[in-house]
Formats: sequence, C-alpha cells, structure tokens
Amino acid sequence: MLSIQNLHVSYGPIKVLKGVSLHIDQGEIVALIGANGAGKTTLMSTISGLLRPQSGEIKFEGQDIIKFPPDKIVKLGISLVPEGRQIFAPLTVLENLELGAYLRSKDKKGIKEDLDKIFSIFPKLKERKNQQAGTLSGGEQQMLAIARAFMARPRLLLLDEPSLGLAPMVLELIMDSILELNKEGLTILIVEQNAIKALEISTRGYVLETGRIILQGSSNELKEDPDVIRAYLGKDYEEITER
Amino acid sequence: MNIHFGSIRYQYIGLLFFVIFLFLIGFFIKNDYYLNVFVLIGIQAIAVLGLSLLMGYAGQVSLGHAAFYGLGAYASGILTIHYGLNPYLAMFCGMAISALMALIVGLPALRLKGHYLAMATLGFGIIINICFKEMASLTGGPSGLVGIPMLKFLNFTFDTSISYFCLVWSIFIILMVLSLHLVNSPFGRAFRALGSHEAAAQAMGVNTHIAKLIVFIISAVYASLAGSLYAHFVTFISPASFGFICSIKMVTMVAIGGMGTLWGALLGTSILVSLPEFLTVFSDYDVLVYGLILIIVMIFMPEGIVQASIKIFRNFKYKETNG
Repeated sequence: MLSIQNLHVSYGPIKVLKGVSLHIDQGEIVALIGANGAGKTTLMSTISGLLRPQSGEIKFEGQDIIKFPPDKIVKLGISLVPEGRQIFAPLTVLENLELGAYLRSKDKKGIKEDLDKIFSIFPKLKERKNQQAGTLSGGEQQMLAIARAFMARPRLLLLDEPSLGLAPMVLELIMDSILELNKEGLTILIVEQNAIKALEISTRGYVLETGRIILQGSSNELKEDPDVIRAYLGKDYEEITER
Repeated sequence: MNIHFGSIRYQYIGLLFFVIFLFLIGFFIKNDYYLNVFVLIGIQAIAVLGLSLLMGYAGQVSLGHAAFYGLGAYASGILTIHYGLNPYLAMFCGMAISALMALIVGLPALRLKGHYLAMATLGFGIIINICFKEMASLTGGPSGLVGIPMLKFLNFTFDTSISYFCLVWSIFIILMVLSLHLVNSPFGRAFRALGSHEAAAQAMGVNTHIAKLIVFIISAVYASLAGSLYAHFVTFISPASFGFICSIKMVTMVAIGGMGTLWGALLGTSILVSLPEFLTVFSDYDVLVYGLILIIVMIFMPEGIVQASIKIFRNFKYKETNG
C-alpha cells in the first residue's frame, strides 16, 4: 500500500533520515519504534507532505506522492494524527470532528454515519461533543485526535506517539480503539517510544535509530530480539547477557 | 450545566436583543451629537468585524487595515466627485479595488509563517497613506477631499443622523449574520482551525494558504465598505483619518473586545470609540486615562472582555449548581 525507498530528509544542514526504506501492506498495523531524535516524527511529517525530502521515493498505491501538498495527500487517503495531539482547542469537539471530514464537507449523510461510528467507539466524545476541545483531558484529546483523523475516511492512518503523556489506564483504552479501527479495515502506521505497547498491537515493526532502519521483522520477533529488549523495552542489560 | 455559547441559536437570541437595543437608542436619543457617535461606532464596527474574522479566528494580524478603510473612502470620494459615478457603484468599485489589493499583498505575505503578514500590511498601510497624501490631483493631498455626496435611495437622502444610523446599523446586522454563518460553515471551521494549529489544519486537508488569503480579502472588503460609508457620512476625508494609528486602533478594538468572538469586535469598537467622549471630563488627562483603561483590561482580561465575562458567568453558574 505504502512503500518508501531510500528516503533522505534534512533540516538545513542536519541530516535526519539517512536512507530509510519501509513498506506497509493493506490491513496491517506496523510499528515504528526508536529513541528520541531517531527521526520518527520527521518520517511521519514527510509522508503526510508537511516536509520535503532531499531524495528518495514515497509511493502510495503505486503513485509517487513525494511532490504532493498535504491537502492532496489527505485526499488520497492518508491521514495523520500529529504528535502532541494538536487538536483545535477553541473549537468544539463536534467542530473538530467535522473538520476531519473537511475535504468531503458536502457528504452530509456520510459524515453523520461516520460520527455515529466514532461515537460508538468513543462514547466519551459523544458526551462532550459541544464542549470546547481545549477543556478535554489528555486522554480524551488523544481520542479526539484519532477520531478526527478517522473522519477523513483514510485508508492509511499515521499515528504519531499516541501514548504521549497518557496514564496507563487511558493508554489501554486508546490502544483498544486503535485495534478496533484496524478491524474496520484501516491500515495503521504507529510511531512510538513506548515500544512494548506498539509491538503488542502491531503485526510488524521497524526500529529506527539516528535516521536509519537498523532492524525489522514481525512484532513477536522484535519483542524477543536482545538488542530491542536492551535498548527499548527497558529490561536490565546484565540480566540478558548473563542468560 | 453545559451552555454552548458558540451555537448559532444563542447568537441569534443575542442579535435579537441587540436589534431591540438599537431600536431603543434610535427611538429615545434625539440628540444628533450622540446619534453621530453611534453612527461612527457602527461604521468602525463593520471594519473591525472583518478584522476580527482575520485576527480573532484565522489568527493572522494585519497592521494595515486602515489602508483598506481608506481605499474604500477615497474610491467613493474620487469616483463620485471627479467622475460623477453613482455612489453605490463607487462603493462596489472601492470593495473590488480593496479585494484586489488584498490579493496582491496577501499572496506573497500569507505564504510565510509568523508575523510576515503584520510586517507586510504595516508597510502596505504606510505606502497607501503616502499615496493619499501625494496624489494631490486625485485625492486633494494632505488637505483632503471635500464635497462627497450623501447617499440617496430613490428620492430619499440619508442626510439626517437618524437615517444614517438606521442605514449603517442595518448593514452591520446583515454583515454580522453573514459572518456568524461564515464562522460556523465548513470553511469557517477551516480558518478557525488554522488559527489554532496551522500544521494540524494542513493535516486535515485544509489548504491553509488559500483559506488565509480568502479571509484576508473578506476582511479587506469589510473595511472598504466601512470606509465608503464613512466618506458618504462625513462628506469630507483626509489622509490623517487613515494612518497607522487608525490601523493600531482597529487591532486594539479586536483585542479589547476579545479574540474569537464577533461580539467582541462590536464591544471593543463601542468602548474605544465612545470612551474619549466620556473622558472629556478629565480634560487634558484624557489620553492618560484612556491608556490606563487599556492597560487594566489587557492585564486582567487578556482574553478580552467578552470571553472574560463568559468565564465569570460560568463560574457563577457553577457555584450556584454546586452549592
């Protein structure tokens, strides 16, 4: 569905992505894990057209999208849930959701259907639909950000750090809803520092380190990989090497 | 208690009360001087309403809105005096010129992030003001343009304060309704979204360059219309009325009343236009008191008077329901 070949991205003289290649197939949940500064968010911004790469290739369903502006990429079916949620605080919850469906504002019936679907997955949002989005709790804001992206009827959802600043209980809820959206037929690329959670819900994963993919494989394999365990899953280094 | 002040129903109720209030003013105030103050408030409020859409909703600051206000006024003045054009036609020409100017200034300035629009419009405002001063054969130079005809409708001339009061405020109400619907439309949500988070709005598929440009043009047209109404009301215009200070005043009106609320634009204008009238009791110190009031409002109500009042009302409600 999405294939990225040898992608190079820099901010001025600083090279952030140094030849990243990955692919995502229809119906998958793919996890991209890595430490701070590895380039995860940069990769997400580049896919959604907010950043321009130096070189490389991004193909969505066979079409080269590297020169497309963000609005055209949304139109093609790629929706981003940005890091730190970035909901529209002064707007109401409902208005935020309607904005998600901005590019098909005329499709009133379809929007209504999607709203019903969203409200059944996130009943909290229904309760608060006329409230200003800025007054929601962190978890609710994350739900809103995901729901808003879903309203664009994407085929590929890009989730940037959905766990950021959330309590463990709330995180469970968010992860469950991501699985549920996947069952609805949505393909998902999830970027996480919380590697355990990301590998739990995903089918495959990539490990990004200082701008390069250093490991890839099925999520179960990655969970067992000693390097991943040491670096990202927080297990004691000695404990592993002694074994 | 969940009151949703943003919903259009509440806005219409508010508008209804406001129209009743206007009727009372028109009915009971017989003093022409006070009516004139209300006319000037109405004219200025039309321009500030447009600026409020741009600043308070789309989050773009323009420091040159007096230029569009002036373009409207001078288009009306020049076209009616020198070319004998119908005043209404002149008014539309002014709006078209302003829209075109906004397009030319906005096209490059709005593509950049940050305060570039503020900088570009600041320069634009000054350039236009210099044109008003220097193109003396058309504009009359620094001494201004005299003898602009009054507006007529069929055989009726809007030459009394009360008739102009009705005209100006009717136009204001129409624009207020249009703006309320604009703000609550899909496009309105789009430019409010870009005001709150530009990148996130782009990620929703909003073409933010075009959205900003359209709001900028709309606000310029509002200002131009207000300028034309001003020219036909006072029948005399000079460059001094459309200088940098005038632009700053408009920005202050939006900020004092409240960002992100159209009522704030109205309230801010009413306060800033009428305040000097009340402050004459302080004689020489009026400017000082004026400044003091602005400072106090900005310190204690940084979100503007309207938002602060809503907050106070909400807290009051909360205390009432929660004992």
